[in-house]
Amino acid sequence: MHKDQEIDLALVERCRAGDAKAFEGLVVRYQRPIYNAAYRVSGNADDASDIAQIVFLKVSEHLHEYDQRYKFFSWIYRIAVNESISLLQRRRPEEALDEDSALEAPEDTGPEWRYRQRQTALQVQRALMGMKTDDRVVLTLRHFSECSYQEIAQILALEEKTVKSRLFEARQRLAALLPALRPG
Amino acid sequence: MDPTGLQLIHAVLDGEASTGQALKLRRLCAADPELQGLFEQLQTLTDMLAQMPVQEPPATLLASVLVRAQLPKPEIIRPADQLSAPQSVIAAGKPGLPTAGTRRPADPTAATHIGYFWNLLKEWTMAEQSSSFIGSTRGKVVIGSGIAAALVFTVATTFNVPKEGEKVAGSIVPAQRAQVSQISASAVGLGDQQVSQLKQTDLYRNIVSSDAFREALKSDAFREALKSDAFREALKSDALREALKSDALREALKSDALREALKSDGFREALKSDALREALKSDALREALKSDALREALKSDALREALKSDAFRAALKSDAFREALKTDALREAMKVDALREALKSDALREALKSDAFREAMKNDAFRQALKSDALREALKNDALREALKNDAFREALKSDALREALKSDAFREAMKNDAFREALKSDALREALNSDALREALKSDALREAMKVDALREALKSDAFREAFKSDAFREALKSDAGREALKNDASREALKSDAGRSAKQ
Repeated sequence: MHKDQEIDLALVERCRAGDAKAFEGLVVRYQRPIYNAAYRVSGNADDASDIAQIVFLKVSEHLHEYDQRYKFFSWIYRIAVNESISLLQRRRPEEALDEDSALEAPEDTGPEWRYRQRQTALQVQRALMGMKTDDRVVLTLRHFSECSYQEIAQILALEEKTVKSRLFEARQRLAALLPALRPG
Repeated sequence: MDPTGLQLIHAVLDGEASTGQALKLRRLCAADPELQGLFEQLQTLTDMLAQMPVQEPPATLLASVLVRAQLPKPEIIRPADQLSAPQSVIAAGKPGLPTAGTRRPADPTAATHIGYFWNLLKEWTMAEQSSSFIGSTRGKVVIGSGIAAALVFTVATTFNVPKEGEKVAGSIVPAQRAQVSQISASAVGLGDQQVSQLKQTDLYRNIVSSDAFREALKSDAFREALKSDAFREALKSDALREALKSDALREALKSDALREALKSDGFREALKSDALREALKSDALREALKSDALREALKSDALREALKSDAFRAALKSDAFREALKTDALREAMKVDALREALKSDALREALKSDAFREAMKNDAFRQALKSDALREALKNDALREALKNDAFREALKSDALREALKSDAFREAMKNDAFREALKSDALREALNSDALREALKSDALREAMKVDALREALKSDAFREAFKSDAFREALKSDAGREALKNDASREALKSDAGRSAKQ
């Protein structure tokens, strides 16, 4: 068994026994990845924070339903994806991209580099938000959450070949939306 | 477009392709410029996505979740007296899921229970009685007074004590499961006024809401550290208090360098990382923390992750390396195992002084190439580091042949030549670099200059042609346009197998 899964399972077992510290451990382990995935799918820092909160609360509430034959990682990501999609369905389109809060390069870099990085990040996030949610989800899981095809398939409950074709097409659509990648 | 080619492109970009598949893609791309163009486009896209900044979750997220989560809470103990808000605990809020779209974070003080504090004082008193911190011959009450006084001192010198009557955040609801602890404020030597003030301080709230803080107070190193202004100031940070759960960190607090480092916001924030706290066991790291550059660099996720590597921590002893950590490119590069491993090499750490080299770190192919001993050794060479400014060259470093060639002085010397570096874009040339004869021949200016010609690079695919490089006469002949042009012809290259043919070429 992979070491990460071993750690997760140990924490899950302790949580089920009512150990609040173990739950805290799970939140500490997953808060950054879940928040980041939610941010990339929702495009908005406040929404990402809401989604992350809901995800962890659902984890605490439904932990007894988690099937240990599967990776905890896949289970929590599936909750995150579902919550993100659910939020997007409720949200008005004009509430989408949060351009100020979350695309900042580190403070300790040169101003020119920071400016370029910020512009690129903004372009990419705008392009992502211009895509269908399904596309954005698969791109997020692959490129920001660094999931393998197999992990994405588990999270989205799809066949691996479907994941591949969805990812390949999404990537080409994203490239087409980015001015910097257009030929000529 | 060839659908196989498309699938291979994505598989290569996702790191899911075998070596055979990668080679096949290379062949397909060589034969199909459109496919090559798409590959390059998607590779750029992948790089752009990889460089998107990681977002930090809000500092309140953890507290919000913990307060609302439906897990059993530890037993709450409440004193029967001495509470300005008697019969109370601070509400944890209604457990359960918040409604969708709620952006109201849970009150981080919600987990607070005043009874914890008295219980804590009692625990300290008991603990200190058996320790040498104060002395085992003194009575419980006196010892308790000492600790409490130390705490009040800390409060007074570190935190703003709110004015009497100032409201402490948090909603108050009746206690449901309180038990009575018989220890009172007077028993630990505090007057009512002091108790009242103490209860309204940030420190007080920190203590009652942070298991880590209470646990840390049992450690000699931590209590010693409390004497340091920098450390007390640093304790205002949630990240540090959270980090205090780590034995490694508490132990590390014995180090002046570390306590000094705690003045830096970046460093305290970085302490959220398990990897960093664990890494603090290393003397080299604690010593290295004297460097501003390093403390600042620790804001980067990649760098903190890198701290798991022994090689990386060892590298931190090098000034050049710590200075280099100021660059994004290097910190980003730290995500790559190969690079962290490569840091064992003095040559690499030395190379990090060069801007060109640090810039090259942005390139994935280059970082991967650092797995090669030959390349790391070659990095001692100025010409090579200079060559790293060139995109084509960094890209070319994906080729085993090229990395192998870097062992050759002649080749590294050739790196100084623009035409030659440009020529390295050609697969044929990189492949040809497997040949000793060619690498030796690269000592000749004429040959390096000749590399500008497509025909010549194409000709390099031929064994006969590469063999011909051993001949001075042949290399000399390459100075002439006519000689290089003739190389387009297969028959002509075949003829080069013979001495006669090579002489004729002149």
